[in-house]
Amino acid sequence: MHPHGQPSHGVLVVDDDHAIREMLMEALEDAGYRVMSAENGDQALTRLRQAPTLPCVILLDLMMPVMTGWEFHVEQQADARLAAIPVIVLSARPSMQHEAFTITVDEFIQKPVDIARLLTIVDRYCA
Amino acid sequence: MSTSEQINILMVDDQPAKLLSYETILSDLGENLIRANSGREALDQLLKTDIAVILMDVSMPEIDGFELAELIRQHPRYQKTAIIFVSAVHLTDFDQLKGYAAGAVDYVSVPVIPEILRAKVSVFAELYRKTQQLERLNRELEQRVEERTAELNQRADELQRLNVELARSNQERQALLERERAARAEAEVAVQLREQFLAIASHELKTPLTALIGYAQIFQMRAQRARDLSERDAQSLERILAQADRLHRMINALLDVSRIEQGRLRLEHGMLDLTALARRTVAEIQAMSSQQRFDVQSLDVPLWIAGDALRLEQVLYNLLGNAMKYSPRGGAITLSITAQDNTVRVAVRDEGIGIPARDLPHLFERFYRASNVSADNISGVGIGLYVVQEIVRLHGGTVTVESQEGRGSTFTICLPRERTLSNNGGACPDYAALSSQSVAQ
Repeated sequence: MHPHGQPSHGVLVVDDDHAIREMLMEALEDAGYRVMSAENGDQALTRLRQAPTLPCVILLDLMMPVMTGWEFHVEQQADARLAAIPVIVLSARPSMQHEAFTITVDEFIQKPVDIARLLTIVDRYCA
Repeated sequence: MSTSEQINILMVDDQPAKLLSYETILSDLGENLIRANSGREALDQLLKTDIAVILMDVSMPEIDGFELAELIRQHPRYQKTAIIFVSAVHLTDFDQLKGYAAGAVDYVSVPVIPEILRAKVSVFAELYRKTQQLERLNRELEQRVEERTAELNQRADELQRLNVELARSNQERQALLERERAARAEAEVAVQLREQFLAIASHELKTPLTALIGYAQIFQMRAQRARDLSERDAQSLERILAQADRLHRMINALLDVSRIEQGRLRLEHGMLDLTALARRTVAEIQAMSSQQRFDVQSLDVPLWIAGDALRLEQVLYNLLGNAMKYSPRGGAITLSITAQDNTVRVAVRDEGIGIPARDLPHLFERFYRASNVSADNISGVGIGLYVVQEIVRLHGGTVTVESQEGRGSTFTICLPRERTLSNNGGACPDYAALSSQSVAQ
């Protein structure tokens, strides 16, 4: 069940949609990751600041209530402890290039997500 | 004489002989001569007829000339009528004054010299005529002035009415403009709402679809890992994923329509191998088909062109998908690629139901569907070709169609190999010329 033999590796999933959050958690757990989740940017910041060990990657949705993915990323970059965590943006939008205000993230994956591809990318940051 | 009409000259004398002699003298004038033997008779005549000149003897029994003249002057009609007195006695200054005070008068002394009498009467007759003429002219003038005044009043009224009408029509126009402006604003809001709805709906549709596809893939991976899935189940799962992918494409197409309408469909330019892209897309479509034979005619070497790989894949996917969809009874589907100078041509030919000639000019319109699709019950929304045309246009290329109903269709896209600055870099033939050719086919 743990192909990477490192069950302690954690991933943070940030998405306001419950079904998508659950689905991503299942996929990641199947691949042997320990998963934290948050339903908006604000909650994600709280989880990260309370966590004893930081995740190896953050899967970030952009359009969320309370605090959007863009706003979260700005806060994350301002926090020295969190700034280094890689961010993979998952969005239904076709491309980050078309956004009015782009953010520099490590990866961009369009929804609907191809799970195999997602796991390959996550593995790259967490292996 | 200015008029041929005779005027009336009244001669008053108590002696018939004198009257006769006046008549003789004045007959040459050609006027109507009326006799009166006394002042009373003269007054009678004056009331009966309109007299122009009065010739009267001063010394008459009963009423003398001066008294008669005064009586005559009291009548409004005769206040200014010329009176010529004939007097045998010597006229004193007093008499003259008395005479003149009574109006236009003259004297003729006895013995009467015919020429003088004739001349005097003639002058007064002429004066009368002129006065009459003048009065007539005055009346005419007055009438004309009245007419003109009435006319002017009428014009003024009309002008007033026109002004009122103008003001009202201006108001109406203003109201109309305002209504039009409001309607346009309303329409703009409606369009915005529709675009927003389309964008939101598409986004909202994508969310459950993401979960659906994700779970199907998770399920597939688990089964593969455990090796406990039958071939049939595996195939069913493939179908679920294929249908989810179809739904995904439809949602994307709707989003594309919304983007095209807002002018927000943009390309991500890069270099791509068209041969590989075409083969890959044909293979993908072929996997979904059981009845059609697919054939790719191209050189077996990479054909690099500038463009948006995802968008061009979408174009080929749409054209091949249509070829398949509109060939419900099977047949060959051929994709051929030819390179020429600095353009490439990709033609997708099928042997399907074809397109009626009358539908050809509208085929690339949004939500338009050919009239023969219902007979075969082929579903669709009519946005595929609309999106294809827009993507090809953004690449600086053209898309054309040739078809015969019942025989099949050929869609040809022409693309410049290098990125052109304008939409039509001159690489592909003029679009309008080609589309009319396709209509004629």
